[in-house]
Amino acid sequence: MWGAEIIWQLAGIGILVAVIYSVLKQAGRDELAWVVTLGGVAVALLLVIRLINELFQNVRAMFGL
Amino acid sequence: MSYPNPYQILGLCLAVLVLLVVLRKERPEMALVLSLATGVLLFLYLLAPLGQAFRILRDLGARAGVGAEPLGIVLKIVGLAYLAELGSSLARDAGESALAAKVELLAKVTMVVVSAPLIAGVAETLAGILR
Repeated sequence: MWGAEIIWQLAGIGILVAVIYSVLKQAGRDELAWVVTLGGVAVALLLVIRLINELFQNVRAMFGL
Repeated sequence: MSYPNPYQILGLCLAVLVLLVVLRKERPEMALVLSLATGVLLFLYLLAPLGQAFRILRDLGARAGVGAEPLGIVLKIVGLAYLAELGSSLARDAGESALAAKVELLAKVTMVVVSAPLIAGVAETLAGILR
């Protein structure tokens, strides 16, 4: 079904970030782990923002808001 | 009449649910983004059948002699309610119930402003009856 691939992308990014975070934390690089988390969130938000834009355009067209 | 396949939607929801439960323990902010994306995607699936329902409503309204303007206001309010629900439930999921309450309050006030012409019309009709 269309659009669902973004869900899998986001889940993959989330799991990847979680793994890298715990590895870096074990290695004692806490600040680098934090930066990885922030980068992951930024990439995820960039992916989601296109979806939100599409939703807002559709809603604006349909409800006349 | 086209509508999304309910089995596909349910399957997507179950898969996302499992991923969210796993992610929320490790990376809650990633879980938040994932749940936002899923909510938006499900809303996008909902839009097509919703448009058909609105077409039916417009058709019924035209037959009953209701003008396009009051129906348009009602549709606007429905849209506002959907958007506000999306935002406020997301905020509540993230544990920010104060922000959720503000979003809902904003939506309510906006609805009152949007429906002002209808309220004025009702008041005018009432005044006409009482006079």
